[in-house]
Amino acid sequence: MVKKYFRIWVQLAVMSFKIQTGHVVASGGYLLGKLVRIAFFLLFLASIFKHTQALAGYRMEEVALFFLTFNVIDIIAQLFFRGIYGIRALVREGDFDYFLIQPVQILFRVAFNTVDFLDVVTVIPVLGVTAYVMTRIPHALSLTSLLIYSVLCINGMLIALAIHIAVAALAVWTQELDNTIWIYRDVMTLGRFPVDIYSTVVRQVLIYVVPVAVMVSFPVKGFLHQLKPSDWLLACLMSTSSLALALYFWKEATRHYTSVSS
Amino acid sequence: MEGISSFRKYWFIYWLYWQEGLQQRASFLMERFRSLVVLLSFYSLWSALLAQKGSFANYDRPQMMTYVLGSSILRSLVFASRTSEIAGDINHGRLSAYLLKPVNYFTYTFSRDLSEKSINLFSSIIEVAILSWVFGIHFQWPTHVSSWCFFLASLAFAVTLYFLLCFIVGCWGFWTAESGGPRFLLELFLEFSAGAFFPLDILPLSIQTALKTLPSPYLIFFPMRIFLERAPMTEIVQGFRVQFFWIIGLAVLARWFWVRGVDMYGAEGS
Amino acid sequence: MTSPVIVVDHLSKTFQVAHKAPGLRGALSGLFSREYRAVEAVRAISFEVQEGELVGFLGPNGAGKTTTLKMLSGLLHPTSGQATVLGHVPWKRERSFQKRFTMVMGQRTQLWWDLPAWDSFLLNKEIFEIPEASFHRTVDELSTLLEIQDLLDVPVKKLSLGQRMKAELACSLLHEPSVLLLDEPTIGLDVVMQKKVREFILDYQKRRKATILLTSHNMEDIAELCSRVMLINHGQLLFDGALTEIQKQFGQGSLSEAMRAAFLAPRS
Repeated sequence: MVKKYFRIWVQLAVMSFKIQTGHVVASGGYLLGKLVRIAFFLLFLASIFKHTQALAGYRMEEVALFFLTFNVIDIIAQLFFRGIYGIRALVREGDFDYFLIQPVQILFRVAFNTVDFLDVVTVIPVLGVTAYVMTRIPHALSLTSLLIYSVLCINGMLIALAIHIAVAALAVWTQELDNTIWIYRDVMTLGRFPVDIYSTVVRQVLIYVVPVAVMVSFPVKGFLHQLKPSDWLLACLMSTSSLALALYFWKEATRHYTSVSS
Repeated sequence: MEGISSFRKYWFIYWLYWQEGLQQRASFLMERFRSLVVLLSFYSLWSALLAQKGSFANYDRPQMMTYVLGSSILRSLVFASRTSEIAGDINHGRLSAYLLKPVNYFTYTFSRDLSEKSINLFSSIIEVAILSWVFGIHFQWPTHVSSWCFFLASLAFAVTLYFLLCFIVGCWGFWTAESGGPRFLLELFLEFSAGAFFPLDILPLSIQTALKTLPSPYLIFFPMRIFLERAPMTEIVQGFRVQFFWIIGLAVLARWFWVRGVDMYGAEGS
Repeated sequence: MTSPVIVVDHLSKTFQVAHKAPGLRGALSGLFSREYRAVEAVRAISFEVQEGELVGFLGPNGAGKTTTLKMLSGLLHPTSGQATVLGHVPWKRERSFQKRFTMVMGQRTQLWWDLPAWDSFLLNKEIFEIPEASFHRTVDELSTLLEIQDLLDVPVKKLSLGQRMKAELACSLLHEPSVLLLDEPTIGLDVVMQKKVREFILDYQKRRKATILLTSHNMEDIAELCSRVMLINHGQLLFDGALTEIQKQFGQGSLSEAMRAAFLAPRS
C-alpha cells in the first residue's frame, strides 16, 4: 500500500514539475516574489531596531528567529499540502469528481495534486538564514535547543496539516468559500511577530483557537529555553486533537458532497 | 445624449459587479475578516513598540495609529482591484466579447475596479471605526481644509496610478499566458514600497531616496503624509508633480501596449 | 440466471438550491440569510441491468440522467432508495468496486491539461495498480482502436475536442473495467467523431462483454448503440424497454414524435 502511494506521489510530483518548468516566467515571478517578501520583511525588522532595542522583551535576532520560523513552517507546510489550495478550483470545475470515484485516498490526492518545487527552492535559503540567525543567539544555541526546536517545528507542521484538512473539508462542503485557506494564512501571519505583542485575548485565541502560537512561537521559545512543561503538554494536545477533529470534518464533508451539476 | 447613455452603461457595469460582489457573501465576509486580522497584527506591533517610549521614530502614538488605520483604509481603496482579470480575459478569449460590444474596455475595467473599491472602502471604514472604538484609538484628523483637499486629490491620483500600472501588467497577457508570476512580484513590491503597512520614513535614508524614484511611495505614503500634515507645501507640490508625471507616462505606455496587443490578439478558443 | 450487474430500487435524490432575490434588497438580505428550495432530481427510479447489456438513458437537460449515473458511481449519496453495482453499494466507495468500473463525463476530462495524455495514463496506471505488461498491452490496443497512437505525447490542450474525447476514453479504460458509465460522451463532437466514438463503444462492449450505461440527449447515440432504452424526465422513469416499443406505447408517427409525446406527458 505504501509502495502504491509512493509511486502515485512520484508520478504526481513528476507531472507538477513538468508543468512548472513549462511555465518558467510565472514560476520565476512567484519564486522571486516569495524571497523578496522575506527579504523586505527582514529589512523592515532591521529598520525598526534602528529605533529601538527590544520588542516585547526580545532582541532583534530573536524577533528575526520568530519571523523565520514562521516562514519555515509555512513553506514546508505548503510544500506538502499545496494541492489543498487548489481544491476550490477542483470542486468548481468538477475534477474533484474523478478523485471521488478513483481508488485512492481523496485527501492524499487533493494534497499532493500539485507539488510546488518552488517551495523546495525557497526553503533552502530560508533555512540557511535561520541557521545563521541562531548562531547570533549564542547563549541559547546548543544541541538540546536545536532538538527541541526541530521537534516543536514538526509538531507545528502537524497542526498546519490539520488546518489544511479542515479548510479542504469546508471547501468541499460549501463550494462557495473562496478565501477560507487565506483566512488561515492571514491568521498565521500573526505569528510573524512574537505573540507576546498581542493582547491577552488575542494571545488566548492564538493558543487555543487557531494555534498559531503553538505552531510558530513555541519552537522559538523552546530554543530559548522559555517553555514550561505545561507548554509541552499543550503542544502535544493541540496537534493530536486538531488532527483528529480535522479528519472527522473531512469525512463528513466528503459524505455531504454535492457534485457540481453539469 | 451620447454622454448620458454612456454614463448609464458604465454605471450599470458598476452596479452589476457590486451585486456580484455582495452575492459572493461568504467570500466577501472572509475578505473583510482578512483585512481585520492584518490590521490587528500591525496595531499590536506598533502598540508594543510605542509602549516603551510613547513615540517611535518621530511619530507619537496618535500619529502612528492614524497611519496604521489610515493606510489600512487607503489600501482597500487603492489596491482593491480586479485588474488581475484582464490577463485572464485576454488568455481565455473573453476579451473578444468586449471588443465586439460598444464598450470601451479600458473604461469598462475601470468601472469594474471602482465597484470593487467602493465595496472594500465602505467595509474598511467600518472595520477601522470598530477597531478604533474597541481599542480606544485616537485618530488624528487634519486641521486645515486645504489638507483635506490635497489629500483627496493625491488619493485620486494614487488610484489612477495604481490602475494604470495594473492595466499595463494585465496587457502582458497579450504576449504571455504567464503574467501571473510577474504580477504577483509587482504587487508584492508595491505593497512594501508604497508604505502600505508602515511609514516609509522609518527605513534608512538611502532606501527612502531610492524608493522615491518609483511611483510606489505616492500610492499610500504620500497621501498619508498629507493627511497627517507632516508634509510641508514644497513636498506636496513636488509629490503632485511626481504623481502627475507617472500618470502621464504610464497612460502613454498603457495605450501603446493596448493598441499593439489588440492588434496581435487572436481569440483563443475555450 | 446470473444476478444482474446493476440493481436500482426506488432511488431518489433531492437537492437544496439557494434562491437569490433580485435587486438591492435581495442582494443585501442575501448576505445574512438564504432561502433554499428543494429540487427533486431523481424520483424513485427502479431498474436492473444484466451483464453485457448496453442501456441508454434518454431525456432532456435536467431530466435526472446525470444524477442517476452519479449515484451509481458513488459520487452522490441518494436521498432514499437502494442500489448495487457489481454487488457493491456505490456510495460506500470501496476500493475493490472503484477498480472495476469507470465513468466518462462528456466535456470534462481527467487528463492534465498542460501535459501529454501519456502522463495522465501513467498516473492512472499507478492509481489502479495496473501491472506493467497489461498496461502497455491495453494502451496499444486502445490507442489503435481509437487511432490516437501519434497523439499520446501531444499536450492535451493542443488536441481538438474529438481527439481529447478519444484520449479520455482510453484513459478511462486502462484498468479494463467491467462496468462503464458514460455521461454524454458525444456531446460537442462533430458528426464524424460522434460516429467513431459510437463504433468504439460498440466494439469495446463486444470484446469485453462490458456492461454499459449511457446517457445522452442525442437520438442517434441511443438508436445506434442501445437495444434497451430508459426514458427519463423530471426525475421519473417514463419508459424502460426496447427502442421500438416507444412508438407502440406513446402513439403513432415517427420515433421522435413518440418521444416528444413521452416527454410532454403530464407527470404523475
